[in-house]
Amino acid sequence: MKTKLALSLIFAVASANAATISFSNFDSGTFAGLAIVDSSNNMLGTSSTAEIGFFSDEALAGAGDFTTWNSFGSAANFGGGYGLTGVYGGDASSSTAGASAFIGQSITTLITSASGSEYLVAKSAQTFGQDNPLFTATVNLYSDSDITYLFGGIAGSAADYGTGPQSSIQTSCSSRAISLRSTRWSPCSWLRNATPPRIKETSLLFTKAPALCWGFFVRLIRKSRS
Amino acid sequence: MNIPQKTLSLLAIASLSTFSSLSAVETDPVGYVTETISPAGFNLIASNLSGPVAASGAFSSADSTTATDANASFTTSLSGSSDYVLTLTSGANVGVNTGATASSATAVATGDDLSSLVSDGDTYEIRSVLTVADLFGSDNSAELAGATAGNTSAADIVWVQNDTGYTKVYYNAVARPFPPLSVGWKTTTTGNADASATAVYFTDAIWVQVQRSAFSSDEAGVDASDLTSKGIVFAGSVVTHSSEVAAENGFNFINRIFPGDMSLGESGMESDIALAAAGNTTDADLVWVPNGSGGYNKYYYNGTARPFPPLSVGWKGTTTGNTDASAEILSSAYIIERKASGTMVTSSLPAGVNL
Repeated sequence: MKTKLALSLIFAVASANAATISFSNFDSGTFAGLAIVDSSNNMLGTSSTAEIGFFSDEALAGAGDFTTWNSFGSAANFGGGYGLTGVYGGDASSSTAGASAFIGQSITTLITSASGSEYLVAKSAQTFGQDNPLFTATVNLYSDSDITYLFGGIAGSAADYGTGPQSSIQTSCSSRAISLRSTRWSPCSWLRNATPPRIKETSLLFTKAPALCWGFFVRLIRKSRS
Repeated sequence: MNIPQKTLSLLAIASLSTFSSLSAVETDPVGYVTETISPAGFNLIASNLSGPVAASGAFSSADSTTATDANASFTTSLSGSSDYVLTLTSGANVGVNTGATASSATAVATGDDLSSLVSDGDTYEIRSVLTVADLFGSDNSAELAGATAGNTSAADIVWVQNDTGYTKVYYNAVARPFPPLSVGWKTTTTGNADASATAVYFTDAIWVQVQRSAFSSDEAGVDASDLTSKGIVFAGSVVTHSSEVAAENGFNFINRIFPGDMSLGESGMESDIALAAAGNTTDADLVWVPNGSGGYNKYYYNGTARPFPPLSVGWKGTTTGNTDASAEILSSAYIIERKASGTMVTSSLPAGVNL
């Protein structure tokens, strides 16, 4: 219901929501899907989110810097409507009438783990279109063949959210996660990632700590063997 | 063809009044309309009917969250499971509407601040809001194409406007064991939750997305000789007064509300929308009316005449020059493309119509 709009518009400026993009990572019937797992192959929990938008600077996004993200509509929590881990589904709406900045941009899915430490960025070959009068699109990481992963995207272990083993795709650590560590520790094994994220907005201690720790353990092992 | 066509059948024209000791409830005209949809596309339609009046009377005052009628019995009259909508029916703000729930016997909680809009003695009515089950049948008696065990790839999907976009509702015709999905109305994002009570606000149009390339000869509303057209019958009460609808920047999908033919000229819409200046529609609001072929005819109101090429003041089509478009019929649902910031548009009853 749009009851809130009936009167509030007298006093406020608003924009109609028309363009709608459906996004998910599973088949609505069989529920076969491409499960989203973290870098430790744990399926993302129901506090994790998926959202639609685009990056003004995809190179930065690929390096783990998500500051150029332009979000489209509302994010969806994981669960797929059933409280299942590893899957999500949502509808994002916003106006793309006139000269919207979204028009022509690649429809991109940004997935954020519940801890806010790991991310997956999936870019579709589909682009945002202009409302004329209603632009619609569907992006499904499971069934679409035109997905490019800008961040994360390494194949994970088989995952079972209740419908048998499904293929999975991994999120990856980002610089954002590292900057959060002063207040919240989230295990994130970025040393295993094929393309480690760029380290930004962090102290020298946090930047160097993993390498220092790794060096310490290597020396410890060597010492114990000798 | 997908132009919404309708037949209004008033089953009860008489306005019956029943009085209790505390409040009056009037029975509005009721009836049904038939909307037509086409396959393989999006159909913009509206029922042009509402739920029945649950309460009516006169307010003595309103503050930011409630409105008061000392003679009302809201806790009784609004005790159903429905959502309710309150509309002012007299005074300076006739047609203003907002959500309503009973706050006490004599006070109703309002979805918007009515304190500056209500004067002592202004009359109102509160109606229940129609739901998806009201419109299409709790068991899908309209026979929209259902999903099979949650597979919506061939299902008809009803797009209902909400505060942030759309709630997409479908009928799941075959249950699924896991994840559990029962037979009934569902949304595309809320799993097995019952969506039959999804509210369709009376000023909103809906989209019916038909993914099939043709209808079946044996389904409701389809003539076997024409599998490209399907009629859907909506029943409800007639709104007997003008209504205020919101038109925000961008595309607004509007319910005509009046359940009968109404022309652009009769709509009076030109009083509320942005007009073209000597044919320049850059900043003018456009009215999009489905043309029956999957496209739209676009109209505007030219507010300033132009000598050459000659263009008079009045309703014009965007492709038909100076031809008078005032007699063009507004479909049951239409679009206002609002170029400027939001405004309120009055959806009137045609002149001379008194329900």
